[in-house]
Amino acid sequence: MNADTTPFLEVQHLGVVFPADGADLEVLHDVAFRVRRREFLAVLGPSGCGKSTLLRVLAGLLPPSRGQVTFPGHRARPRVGLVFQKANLLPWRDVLGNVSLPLTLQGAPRRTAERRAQRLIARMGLQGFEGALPRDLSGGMAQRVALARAFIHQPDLLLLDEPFTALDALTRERLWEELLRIWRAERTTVVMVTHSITEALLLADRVLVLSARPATVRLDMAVTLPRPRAEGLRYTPAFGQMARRLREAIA
Amino acid sequence: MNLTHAHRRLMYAMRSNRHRAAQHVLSTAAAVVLWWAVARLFHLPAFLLPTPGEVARRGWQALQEGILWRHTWVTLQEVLAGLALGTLTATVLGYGLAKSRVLERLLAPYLVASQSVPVVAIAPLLIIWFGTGLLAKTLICALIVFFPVLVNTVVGVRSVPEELHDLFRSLHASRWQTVRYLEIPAALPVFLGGLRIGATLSVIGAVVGEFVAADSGLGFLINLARGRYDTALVFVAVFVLVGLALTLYGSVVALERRFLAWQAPSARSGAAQSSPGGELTP
Ligand SMILES: Nc1ncnc2c1ncn2[C@@H]1O[C@H](COP(=O)(O)OP(=O)(O)OP(=O)(O)O)[C@@H](O)[C@H]1O
Ligand SMILES: [Mg+2]
Repeated sequence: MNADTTPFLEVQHLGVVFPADGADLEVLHDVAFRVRRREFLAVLGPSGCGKSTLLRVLAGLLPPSRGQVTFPGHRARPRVGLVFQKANLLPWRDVLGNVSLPLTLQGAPRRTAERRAQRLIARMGLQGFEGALPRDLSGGMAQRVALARAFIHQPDLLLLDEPFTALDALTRERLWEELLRIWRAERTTVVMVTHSITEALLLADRVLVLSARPATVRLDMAVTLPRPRAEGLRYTPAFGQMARRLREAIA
Repeated sequence: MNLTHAHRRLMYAMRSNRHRAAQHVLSTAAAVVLWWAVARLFHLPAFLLPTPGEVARRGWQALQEGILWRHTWVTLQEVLAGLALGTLTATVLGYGLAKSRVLERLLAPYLVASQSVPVVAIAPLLIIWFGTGLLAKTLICALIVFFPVLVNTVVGVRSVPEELHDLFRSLHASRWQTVRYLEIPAALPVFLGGLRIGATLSVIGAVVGEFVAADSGLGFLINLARGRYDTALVFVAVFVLVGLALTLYGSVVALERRFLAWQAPSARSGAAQSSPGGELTP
């Protein structure tokens, strides 16, 4: 579909081994895949297989034991927005302060940072909570703050680690919409780890399935469903077929 | 809804504050009455146990003569300088220990060993080396403040969750930004718990130094008054010392109120419990 063939992100022969006394723990084994610019990639895999570890390597937080991660179109490391499994907010900063943190660290003027934060907070449906502290937020609200924080510095690469798992179904579906809208508007590239086949198929352009530890790529499948993808899509034969392929690959 | 919630919380806090103040006044009054009753009932001579009235009169007299203020000022200087010096070195060294396993392995044995030597035992040495002036007392004071602040700095800095460090690294935060926006605020609750203990210990340190050798200060005044069987003046000096310690303690508590307001009340007592003596939160 996309004529642009140079990948945004290229992972080659990636291996991660955690040294331990006794036997070393091999978490990733010869993982290889590419992500195009502005592509939305979902990563599925059994629990404990190394999905979070993969994201940490992509974010540059963990040096790989083998292989490499490159960004061919970039001279330096691209700007990364990270959303963790837990919201991971700074408990002493209010919502506005948490969302604007990436801009503060970039040295942006406070007024600019706060104005932009305000816009994203409103977009996440949190207006009126700018001054609230993390301890007063529900889990869903905290996760929305974390999403806004990940978007605010317009990252080239958005890394999401099961960002919606802890949320109730209604909030989750609202945030899917919001994530897609921002993804389209900001033209970022997304790699999202998830446990949900439905979530992967409704959001992603491509789905990667990892095997159990040590993880390798089991399946690399393009999601050929047209966008925008409505909820009702779940009940179409095409969706069902893809879901079955994914389920078989995970099992 | 938010507003009424905050309002209710404020009302509750005010009521419990007033409640607590009333309790303090009551218990103090009860103690004074008891003291007076004991002194009176047993007809104790003033050099054994002066009455509250006698102590108050002696205090007023000492104040007018200027000796009370002069000795208090000396002790206060030692306490503040020692507290500042001890806190500063403990914070810097504690941060280094928290961040560097090598430094920890090198220094930990000495630090632990230094704690097994009571300050009273090395105070005479410090007096020999640094004289009977302000310097030696400041050092004794700093020494006694040092350890609790050091331990709590290490624990506080180490308590910063690894995931928050990941967040800051992913945002390319500089070393200084990580210290300023992450480590200082995250370590502050435990650190202030240590400072709370250090603040009260600093008064003890100053008095220890003055007991060993001094020509001024509240510890010296106590020794002097005892030699003259002026027990009322001993009481006066002790009360001033207690007042100093309580004021310092209260100052740290005020810092906690100001800078740790983000903690839920339950979490705040939790942080206090993680430091020794935390159950003494007023
Ligand atoms: N820093 C580390 N040191 C040692 N072992 C680690 C480290 N980080 C992760 N592991 C181990 O690597 C394996 C993979 O962990 P990881 O968190 O990447 O899995 P995951 O796929 O994200 O799991 P989940 O689905 O439960 O989130 C686990 O067995 C974990 O114990
Ligand atoms: Mg994980």
